[in-house]
Amino acid sequence: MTAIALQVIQSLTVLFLAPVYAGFLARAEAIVQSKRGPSVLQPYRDLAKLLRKESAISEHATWIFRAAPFVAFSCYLTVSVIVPIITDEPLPLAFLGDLIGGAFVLMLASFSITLAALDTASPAGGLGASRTTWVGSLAEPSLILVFFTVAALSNSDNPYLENHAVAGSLSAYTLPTHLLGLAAFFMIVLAENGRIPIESPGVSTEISMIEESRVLEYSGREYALVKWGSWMKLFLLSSIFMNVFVLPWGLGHANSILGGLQGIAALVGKLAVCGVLIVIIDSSFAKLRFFRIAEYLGASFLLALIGIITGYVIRS
Amino acid sequence: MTGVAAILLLCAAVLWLAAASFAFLARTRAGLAACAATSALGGTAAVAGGGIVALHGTEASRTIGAGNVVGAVTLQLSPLAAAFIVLLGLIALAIGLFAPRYHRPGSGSAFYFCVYNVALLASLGVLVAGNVVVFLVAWESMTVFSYLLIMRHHQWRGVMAGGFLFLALGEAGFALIVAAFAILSVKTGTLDLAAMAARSHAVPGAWRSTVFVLALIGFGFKAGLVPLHIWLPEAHPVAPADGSGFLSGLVIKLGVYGIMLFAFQLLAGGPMWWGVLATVIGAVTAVVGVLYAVIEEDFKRLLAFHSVENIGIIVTATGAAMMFRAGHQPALGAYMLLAAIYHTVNHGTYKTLLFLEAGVVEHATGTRDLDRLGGLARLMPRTSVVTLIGTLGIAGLPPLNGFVSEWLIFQGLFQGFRIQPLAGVVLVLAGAALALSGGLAVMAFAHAYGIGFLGIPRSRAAAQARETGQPLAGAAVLAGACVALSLGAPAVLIALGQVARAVTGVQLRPVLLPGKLTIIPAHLNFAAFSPTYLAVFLVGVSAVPLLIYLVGRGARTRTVPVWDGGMLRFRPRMQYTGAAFANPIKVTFGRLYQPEFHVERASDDPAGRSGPVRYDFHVLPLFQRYLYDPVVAAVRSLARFVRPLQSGDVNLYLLYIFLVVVIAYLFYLIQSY
Amino acid sequence: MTLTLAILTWALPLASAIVPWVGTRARGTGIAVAAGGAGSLAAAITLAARIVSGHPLKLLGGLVYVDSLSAFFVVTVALVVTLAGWGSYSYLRAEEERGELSPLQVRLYGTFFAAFAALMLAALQTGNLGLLWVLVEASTLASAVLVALEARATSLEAAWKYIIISSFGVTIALVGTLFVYYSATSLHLSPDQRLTWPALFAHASVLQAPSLRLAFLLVLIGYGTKVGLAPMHTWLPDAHSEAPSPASAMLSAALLNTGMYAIIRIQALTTPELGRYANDVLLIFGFASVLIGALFMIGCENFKRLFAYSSIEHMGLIAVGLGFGGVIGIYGALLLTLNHAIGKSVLFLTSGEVVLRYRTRDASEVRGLLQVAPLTGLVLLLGTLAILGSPPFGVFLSEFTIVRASFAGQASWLGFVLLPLLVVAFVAFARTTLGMVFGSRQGRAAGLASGSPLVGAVPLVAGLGLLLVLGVWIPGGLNELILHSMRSIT
Repeated sequence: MTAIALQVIQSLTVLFLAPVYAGFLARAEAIVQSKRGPSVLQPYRDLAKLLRKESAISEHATWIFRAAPFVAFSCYLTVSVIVPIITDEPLPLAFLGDLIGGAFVLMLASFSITLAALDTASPAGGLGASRTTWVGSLAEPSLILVFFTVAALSNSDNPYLENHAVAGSLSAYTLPTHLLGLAAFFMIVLAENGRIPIESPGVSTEISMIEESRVLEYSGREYALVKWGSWMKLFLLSSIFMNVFVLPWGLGHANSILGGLQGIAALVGKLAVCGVLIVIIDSSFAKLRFFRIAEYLGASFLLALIGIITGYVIRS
Repeated sequence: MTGVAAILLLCAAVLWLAAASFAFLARTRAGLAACAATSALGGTAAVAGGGIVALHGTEASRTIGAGNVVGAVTLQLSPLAAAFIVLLGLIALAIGLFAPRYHRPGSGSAFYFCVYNVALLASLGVLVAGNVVVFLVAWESMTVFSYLLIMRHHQWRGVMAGGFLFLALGEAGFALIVAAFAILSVKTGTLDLAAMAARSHAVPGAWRSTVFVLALIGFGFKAGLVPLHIWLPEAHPVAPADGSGFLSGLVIKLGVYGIMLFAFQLLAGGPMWWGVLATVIGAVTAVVGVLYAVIEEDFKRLLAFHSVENIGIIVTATGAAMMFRAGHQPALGAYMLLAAIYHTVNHGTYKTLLFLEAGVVEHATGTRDLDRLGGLARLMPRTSVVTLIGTLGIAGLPPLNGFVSEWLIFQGLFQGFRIQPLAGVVLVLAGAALALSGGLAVMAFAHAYGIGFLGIPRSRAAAQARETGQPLAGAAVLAGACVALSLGAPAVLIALGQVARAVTGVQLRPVLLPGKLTIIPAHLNFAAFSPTYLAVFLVGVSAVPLLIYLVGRGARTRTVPVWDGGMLRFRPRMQYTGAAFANPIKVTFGRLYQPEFHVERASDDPAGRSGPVRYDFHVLPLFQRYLYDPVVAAVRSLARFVRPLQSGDVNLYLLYIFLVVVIAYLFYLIQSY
Repeated sequence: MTLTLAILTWALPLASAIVPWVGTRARGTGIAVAAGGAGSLAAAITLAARIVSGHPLKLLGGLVYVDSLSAFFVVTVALVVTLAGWGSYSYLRAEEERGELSPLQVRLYGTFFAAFAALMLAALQTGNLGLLWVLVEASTLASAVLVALEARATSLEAAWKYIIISSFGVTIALVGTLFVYYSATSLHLSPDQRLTWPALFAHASVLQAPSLRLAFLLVLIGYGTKVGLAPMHTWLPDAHSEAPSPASAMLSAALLNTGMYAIIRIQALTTPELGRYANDVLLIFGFASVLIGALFMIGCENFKRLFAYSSIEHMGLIAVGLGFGGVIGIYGALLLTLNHAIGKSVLFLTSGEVVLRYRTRDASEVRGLLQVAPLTGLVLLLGTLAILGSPPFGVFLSEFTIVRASFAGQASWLGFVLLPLLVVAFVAFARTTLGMVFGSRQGRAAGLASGSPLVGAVPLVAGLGLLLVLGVWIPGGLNELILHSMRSIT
């Protein structure tokens, strides 16, 4: 019973804390740039506004355009039940998938938005679709190699077991396999969520848009779902990054609600750390020229590869 | 039980033979429908028969008549072949439902149906062959009749060249397969496949490795492994759509079957380097295949190249299975074999589906060029929904079957750390290659489906597309199969587990399906997922966004023109084109493509006012240029070199004979002393 | 009874030689030739059945000698005569109708075709090596008339080269035969017996080795000229492509086999004394022939020459099969003899149809045969695949058996040499013929078909059907015959 309750709480956490995470990032970035910045709760107000607004849909769009936000949103909610967010033991529905299953579900979300972008016949949509799938395809090998490091460290592909492996022993934590995998995964998190150095978040110039471009045609309630979904994606990937790789401690147990709430509190702290890290990178680096993204992702690939090779060598 | 299966397969064979014999009836519409229905019925029988053998998991064989020096007619039912028989039957069923609306009655269609059904029969023959001679006769018959299938519209451009390439390279592969079988049968002293399998461990290692390499390359020609694949993108697009579906869905799988037959049954395991070789070739094939697929504008050629990629994935999984067996991980070995077969069946269903739909599109619009299509989702809604299912399947996205088999394969590769490190690193790199190919496959099909079906029609031809009168039943069956193979994954795994057990002797059930419809990859505590529940959950949890959506009750929806940057009129040509979509890949992988491109502007005015711009982009045919052309050129120059021997001068001819006599006499003298 | 059958096999065709001179025209001649062939075939099959279940026929001190091997070759040649005879009917009628052949030419054809057939069949049934030589040389002369029949400059030249080179070769064979005679001097046999195969075979292990070696070499070179083994093959492409198509079939499918029969006989004599000597020599010439055949097929524009080179390649393969030896090798070689004979006859008869329609032997001028003449095109297509060793036709089974033999022996690497050559031959041959069959119609295809399309189709369909049957099933009787033949020479 507690477990089921925790399961629901976990998903609700993702659902309702994602906007504030995005708000925190925006606020922190503004502060770093010596501005006041919007309120941390601004995203909620944005969502409320969008939910009341009218949707203007391209006359060429089909049901795919209207269905995509729902598909993506469902995907993000699905991932939220299978990765460690607030507890360190798998919850009842965690059997639905593991790390790579989660990765594929995220791919489905991205694919549906991509199709929606092409559905409108808008050239900007095509632009975004092309660029996003390109970045995604080059990020795949790195991501899989990160999963290989996970497998090498914890003898499993289960995020919870990886969490245990690196939380339990300092020697496991400091293995180059883990640290390199951590770095590679962070680079992928930045790439997948459209942060510097891949894309400037929130900027709408044709020359630099990658993911943003796909959702230009969305408005009103569908747009609310799309935005909320992308915040959830960032939240999820950051949570995985912190809970599985960087700070695998502080998660609650699966048999007490109190532990779960404690886990939420710890999560907030960890995401604050992660957010600060992201903001520092946002402010220190410039966006890469488009085709140099391949080099960036190649670097991430190499980091993970070296991590695995050292891991295999150490094992033998 | 095997008796029932044998009777069902016999029924299938008889039905296909009947369909071939009465193909001349296809000159009328009713006759065509009857012929196709017979073929479909045969397919159903094959599915049932194959399913029974697979589930039962035992082998049986029977010899008809007495053998002689040449060979004997021995047929066998093996679970490994049974999985492929199920695929064969499913494809035959789907095509049988598809064909009546696609083909026009006439003598051309009659000829086509005759050879098609014989090709089906020959494929079945390959899968039930128990003797080397039966296998080889069936194999090459399948190649020959597939060739005749491709030549259906031999007057059209590119058909003769594509068909001939298919036949020539098929023949080259066949020669190697013959060599492999001949050597193995000579060394084991028997032509019977079961007996060969039993005796092969006594054959010296060097010969076994030779046989394996010959089989890998020989069957690799048929499967489409790089660099033996160049016929695939030429031959598959020019066949009629259902023929392409048959070729891509089944015929290349028979190449995979051959490799599995040799690696797991006839040679029964070998050193690690066999698996490494297969894995490396598979990984390279997967990446090269998809890299060429993603830049294609011809829908059918894109699908053909993509078949190369999937064969690469299957062979990688097979190679990994061999590596695990050699590395003393029998459970993982059996598991990877199972994953490979599962992916084979999956690919058969969605690739055939996509080829059938490509045929429908070509039929409706008259073109295969993605840059001329578009807007079909609105004009042909049912076709586009079915195609979407196939696209999701082939891109490996949840909740469909491609996702399940790719998950299985990746989980197996992740466990490479269980065998020696060097081999484990090979699996790591193979995993990375498969990941890249998976990502690019998503891009390729976003390209194909997005440019081809979505947006607005880019040409008048596409704008004329209509849904009515298009075949749908066959493709719908395959779409249903895709969904069933995913939601019913546990059931499929039980069946395939039986197959893996029959081939490798390892019982996978407890380390595969611990319960609650969850799948685990051959080791407890490694990972888990449940395709059935995942699909249910994905659909169910969409209630949440729906709820959120309904919160905004007051909001309306308005249809507006698409934002076009303020132009006076939005024209279809303003949409993103396929060539532009694939451009990032063309730039990133330019070293591989080494393209020649050509831009011609009508005038030198700045962009937008320069008038028509012509952009030609040609990819370097890498393998043709550096591998095949030199070989062909060498043979040709050798032929030219000897041509003067036949000079026409009688005196020279007599001189040859005289010289031979002299040399022979010298030879005789030397021998006498 | 057996003797009667043996005589009938060559007497019936010979009898049909008279018919043209009794006042009939092309139609009658054609029917006569076909009937003679059919009768001969029936007699041959019955003869074979009797020989297999009984004893070899030996009369007149070995002058007449028919054992299983002879019976096998007699059946093969009779089959070719039947098919070619049937083909002659439509050929003669069509050419006469068009005025291409004069009545004299028709008569000459009928006579010499019959004589040719009879001489070959008789040659296969004698045990006297001298008489064998005489009959083979006579068949050369008879067939030369056929090559020159159409009296073009090219056919006259081809016939002339044929006579000169063949005779030169056959003369060498005569010297070889003399050496065979000489190698038996130490035996206490009468002079006649020393030239008779059964007697020689009975004492094969005590023949003098040196002269036997030389004898085999010369016989192989000599009769090899008739068979078309490289490098003595040079007359073959010209002769086979210039002759009328039914005669080409006879040349390619029957005469070459007769020459091979002679070589097999002599090889059998050498095996007890010389061991694998003959095998190695056969392998050398065999591989050379396969190589030459394959290489010359590349880019060959004249499709009848293409078929001729294919014959060279197949004869090479048969020699290779005999060279590898063993049960598998010889069985494969004999089976290939039969299958190649049927397949090549079908191909040449088809080429005849094409020549009649298009009036050219140039493959680049023939396109879209499937559209213009569906049956001919289909037969050419299937015949191509058949002769190139593609299942489900019979040639594949024989070729595969020979390939197995190649890997069974000491020098397995030879198998790796053989297979690429077969692939090259396949690709080169198929490229030309498939280009003829498919495509859109082009070229000056004559509107009217050959005189009687249906009758013309019978031998084609029958031949292909037979090949198809042999491709999936070797009848028990045939299997017995081949096994018996092998036994009679080992």
